[in-house]
Amino acid sequence: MSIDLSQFISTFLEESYEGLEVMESSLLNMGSADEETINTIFRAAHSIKGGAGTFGFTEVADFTHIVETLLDELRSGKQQITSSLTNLLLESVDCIKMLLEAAQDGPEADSDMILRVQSALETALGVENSESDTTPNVAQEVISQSDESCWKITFIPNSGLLQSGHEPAFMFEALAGLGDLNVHANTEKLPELFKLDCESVYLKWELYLHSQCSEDEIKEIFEWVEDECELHIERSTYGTAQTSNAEADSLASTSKATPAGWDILFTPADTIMERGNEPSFLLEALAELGPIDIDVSTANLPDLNSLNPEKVYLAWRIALQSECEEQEIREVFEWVEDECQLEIYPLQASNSEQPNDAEVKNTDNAFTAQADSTLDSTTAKPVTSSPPNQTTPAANKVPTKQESSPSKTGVSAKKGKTASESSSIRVDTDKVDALINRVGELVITQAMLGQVGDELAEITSGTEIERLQAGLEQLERNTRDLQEDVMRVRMLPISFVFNRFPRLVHDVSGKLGKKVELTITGEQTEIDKTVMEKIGDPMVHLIRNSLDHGLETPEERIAAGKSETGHVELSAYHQGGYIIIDIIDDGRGLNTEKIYNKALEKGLITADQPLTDDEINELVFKPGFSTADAVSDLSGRGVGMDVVRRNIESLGGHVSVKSEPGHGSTFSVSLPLTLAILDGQLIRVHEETYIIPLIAIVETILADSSDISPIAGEDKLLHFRDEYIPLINLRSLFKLPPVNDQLDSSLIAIVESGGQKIGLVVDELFGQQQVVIKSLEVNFKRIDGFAGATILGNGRVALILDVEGLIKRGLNFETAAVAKKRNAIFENGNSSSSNSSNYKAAV
Amino acid sequence: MNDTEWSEETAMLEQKSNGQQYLSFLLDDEEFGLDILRVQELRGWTPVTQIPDMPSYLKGVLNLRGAIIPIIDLRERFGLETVEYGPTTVVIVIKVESESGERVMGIIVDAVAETYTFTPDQVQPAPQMKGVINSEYITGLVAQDEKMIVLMDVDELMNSDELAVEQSADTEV
Repeated sequence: MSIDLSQFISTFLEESYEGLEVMESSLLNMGSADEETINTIFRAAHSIKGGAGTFGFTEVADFTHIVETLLDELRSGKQQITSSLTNLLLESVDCIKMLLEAAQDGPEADSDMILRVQSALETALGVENSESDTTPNVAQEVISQSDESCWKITFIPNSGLLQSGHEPAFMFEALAGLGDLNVHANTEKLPELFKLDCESVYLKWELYLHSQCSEDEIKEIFEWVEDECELHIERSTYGTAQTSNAEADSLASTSKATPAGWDILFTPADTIMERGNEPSFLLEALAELGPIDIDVSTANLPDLNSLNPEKVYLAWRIALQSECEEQEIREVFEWVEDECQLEIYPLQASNSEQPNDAEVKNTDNAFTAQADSTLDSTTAKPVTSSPPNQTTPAANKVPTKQESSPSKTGVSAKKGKTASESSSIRVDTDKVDALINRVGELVITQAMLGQVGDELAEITSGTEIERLQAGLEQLERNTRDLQEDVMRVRMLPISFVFNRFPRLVHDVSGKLGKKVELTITGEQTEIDKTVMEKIGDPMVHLIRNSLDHGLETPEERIAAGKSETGHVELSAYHQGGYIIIDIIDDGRGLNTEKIYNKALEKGLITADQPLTDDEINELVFKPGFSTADAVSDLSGRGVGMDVVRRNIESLGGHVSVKSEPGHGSTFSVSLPLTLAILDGQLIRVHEETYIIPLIAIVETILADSSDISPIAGEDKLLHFRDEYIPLINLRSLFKLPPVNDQLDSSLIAIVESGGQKIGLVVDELFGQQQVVIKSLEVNFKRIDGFAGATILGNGRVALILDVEGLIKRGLNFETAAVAKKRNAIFENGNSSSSNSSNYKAAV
Repeated sequence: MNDTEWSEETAMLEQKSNGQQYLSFLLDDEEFGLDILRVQELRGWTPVTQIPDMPSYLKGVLNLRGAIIPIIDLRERFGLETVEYGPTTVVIVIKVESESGERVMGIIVDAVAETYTFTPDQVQPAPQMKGVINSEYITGLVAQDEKMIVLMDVDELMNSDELAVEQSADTEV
């Protein structure tokens, strides 16, 4: 292909991943099994297949094709949706994801798993396929998974091939140029000598080509005879067979099952000859697969008088002794599919086992990577009750002779796309961010203009000034609206995160043997894309936690007088500029006592500290606190809750827990709607304006100097609401000149990060304002204690304080320790004498 | 400009084919030159936002049409005597190449002087210099009209220790 497709690959991958998500969520919703859900899944699979074919990800395309075929059967109502089928399809989704990742230079796909799922899929297909419908090229694609280097080419020229000046031998020579070629001629069609027309071709060939060449290269050779022959090119697993008539033998040798045969009922429509199809050719083709035994039924034959010589009145019953797959037989009948009734049953009913057992049993087979194509024949179960007038829906799906070539699947992929891609466009986030920046500047410019307008109005008056001010007001409104609109571009419904949880709950609850019902509400709540990307992992952890530690086993639940099925609710909603995500379970709740003991053991608290239950429960977020040991005896996995908290706080969010023993627990995550904008408290220190993120502020107070007690040097503690809070004087932290006159009171902003409260001593508090966060790193560098900067209405830059960084930078560890000690002591009403000795020890 | 302007222009045009253009600026009566292609714009001095606890030559950050750029006082950077910023004080906004990409910064100089075109053979290698103006920052010296113009390497200068970009994994927004 001459067009460079690589630029589209990332788009394809992105769309595919989205498609997979759609498939997954729809599969999990399939309980209702309505048509539209299945159609949605089918469309997603179809788009992936089409795209994968176009970009040459044949493995993905082949695998997805099988999935698609199965889905098609579900869609047409040929198979009923069962939970095992749903699970199988879910696994397939994983496989496709793996294959896509592998195609994207990701980790190698787990080929064992893929083969296993694939064979399970084929088994599932096989069950129904014996009825009548399949897509003809499944078998070929199955084979193509195994051997890369061998092509099997079936070349059946029309008898008039020579008359148009083509010579098969030349083509074979050209093929031999591609690699090691093994030619096998089939002479079955050769008529008796006296009937032989020397200008006709009666032979057909099977060619085995050992070559790394692409399918296109082979097709090119046959390019000129395309319309005059039947050509099948497939990757062959039988490439090692040096004698080409060994196909059936090699099949037998790779199969572990007893030789099977097929009973084929072939009743052509009486018009079949008018389309140029000749039943006898078909029968001859069948004979290629193995020894055949043909019975002709003349039941429909009319009187000689009413017989139309152009019509077919016969029906055939063919007994085929072959190890071949049903697919191979169907392939023979591919071109007459919609002009006949075709029923294929395995001759031997030797396989009574359930498909699932077969799947397990055949796993070994699949691992040999060669024999998976035989699975169908060993596990297919006859469906004897197929209605005789069964038509074949697959016929219109594969209308042409050649295998679906990349370009064709490309077209079909496009069709699928237009269906699902009606109302959105795909834009690089960089472009959106650039737009947001530009609008941010516009807002600043507008603010400056507004200021100038006001100043002008003060010194002069007149209609011009009024008009100017009216215009400026309009500009302000429009700018604000524009800013809000642009910000919304980055916002996506949180369902993008939530969508993966039904699957997670499905899998985890299955593993834990718990019955869980997941309720999701508010999934349309919008949140910034960047926040969303980062919130996924903490959420997964919290939900796993609820399932693992929160919910009880069905037995325990019954014993506790609850319904057997546990409930986990995931709900998202907006609250005051933040998005709140609650994870509510109705399980056993946190074991406050155990947490308390554990925290004591780890030295996180002291025994004399009186704590409320809520405060104890909050301890699970402390670093070094293993949830596994604390809350239940089940093993915990991966990160602890402190990591969850840290991740959420790094997004400017907050997480808390409420628990009611026996009734469940609620984890509440609050997140800023966006990372690009921040609600800030403007403060002044010395000559500069700074911004404290509003979420970090607990309270701002005017503290009396009597509430502030010095401990060492400049370090001070604030006694506030029964608590000692270490103070950081921003002037001294920033090495600015101290305030000249000793003040009676100080303005203090009490902030909190990571559970540590500190008081920031500031000079002045200004208003609160939404500010656009700008990075200092773009042109400069990261500075400890600052989260970034913003541009104020007057065009000046203001630095945004990073509370966590400030604590790290400014908080004397010892001061904090003293505060902690004092708190403990204070709360126990102890005397202050031990307090001072403690302090000395600390220093 | 004076009456030698015309001849200078011609000379510059003649040299343009193989020469490189430099913008020169004054710093304590010394003339320095920097590659004119690195110069983004010239601005008058406007107050900047100070960043606490930074070396004194780092005056702060400035809003340059929405971009936040650091402003460096070159006098202080080189340990020269500080002066009041006045009407001729100029901020040269330059583009600096660094490992993390192109950065935009402003340098405060006393005044902007001339643009010159120098051919490579006019440029003499920098002598080993010790002191505030480290020879690392100097690409060469050019004698021009009895004056010595020091050609500066802005990348070296602006990427030196104190201003170096810290590679941090987590970026804001």
